[in-house]
Amino acid sequence: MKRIVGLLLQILCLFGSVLPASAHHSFVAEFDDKKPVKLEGTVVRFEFMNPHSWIYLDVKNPDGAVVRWAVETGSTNALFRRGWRKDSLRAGDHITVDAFRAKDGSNTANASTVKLPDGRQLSGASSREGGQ
Amino acid sequence: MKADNSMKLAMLLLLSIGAATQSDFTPPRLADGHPNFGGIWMAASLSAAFNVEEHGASYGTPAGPSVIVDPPGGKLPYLPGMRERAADNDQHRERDPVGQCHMHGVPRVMFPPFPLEILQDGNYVLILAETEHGVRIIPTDGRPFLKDYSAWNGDSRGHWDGDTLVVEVRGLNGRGWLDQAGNFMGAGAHVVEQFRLTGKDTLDYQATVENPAIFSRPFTLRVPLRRRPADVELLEYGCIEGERDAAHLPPVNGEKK
Repeated sequence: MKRIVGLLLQILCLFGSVLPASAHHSFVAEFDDKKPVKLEGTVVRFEFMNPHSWIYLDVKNPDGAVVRWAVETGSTNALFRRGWRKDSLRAGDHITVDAFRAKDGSNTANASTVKLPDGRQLSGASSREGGQ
Repeated sequence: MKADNSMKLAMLLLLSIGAATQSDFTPPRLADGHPNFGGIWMAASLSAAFNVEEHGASYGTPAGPSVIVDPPGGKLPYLPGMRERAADNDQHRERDPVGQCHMHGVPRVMFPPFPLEILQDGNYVLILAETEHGVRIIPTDGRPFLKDYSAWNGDSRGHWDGDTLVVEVRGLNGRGWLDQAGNFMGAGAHVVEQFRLTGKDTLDYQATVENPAIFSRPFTLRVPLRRRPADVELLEYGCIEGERDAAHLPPVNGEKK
């Protein structure tokens, strides 16, 4: 029975949509799925590169202090195929990122979605959900 | 009873699909008469990239069936103690060579979550893997293997068995993982791969791995590849430049990168 279900699943995969998959490294090696975080802030720098692109973001804490976050997304290749371009983010852009924090407690996170200044919401193509 | 009938119908459907793909399909051919595998391909299911064995869903990993077709039961035939090592790897995924920008190794290089391009010219089959810029140059002209060679993807030599490309891989460095879940190979691994077109857009890939240092018997995995749409092209994948993860990962083998 298990085998039949497995076969059916393989056929579904063959003709249906591709399952999400991890990219360059395992999500759980670095990030904590129990620590979701929503970051709203100003883009300092966008590094459009492999194996992960990085968004550096200044976020104002409730106490007024500004904290710089490094947010990991998928590879340039994964982002490009999802509609991202090298200038999708520019310094000074105000964006909102849904992400998961790094296990080491630093201000590092892995993005699941990024809401751009024009309102478009892009997949972060993170190591959690997608390679290519 | 009703469920039994549904199951029989499902089996019939599967068998008829299998029969159709095996007997009715004539592959496109190059001038030399061999099937043309040229194109951009990717594993039809990316489940094997996560775990070659059957696995349930966990955060960041969708559930998927085993791709091990031999031995029956779909489990890797680890020697005593080796499954524990794989489980320990699973708890320490920072050890994954690919996460450190190393090459995937054969057979993992054939089912990463990034596309592959296959090119043929009669004397070679080239497999270009986007991820890590993995290049497999597979001579099919009968030349001998390199002597005392060792590399992540080893040394490949191919020949045609009818419409099936058979590739023997020696010289694997034994450091490659099979998937992201920590299943692994070791020194002395020897792999025989088979590639066969089963439809215009489907390329069947099988690899039989023999590695007596780690496994009690050879095993075979099967991952169908699917042709990617015509507008997909391979892109650069410079792994080192954007690598910022090591600073946030636990030390690998006691050394902080």
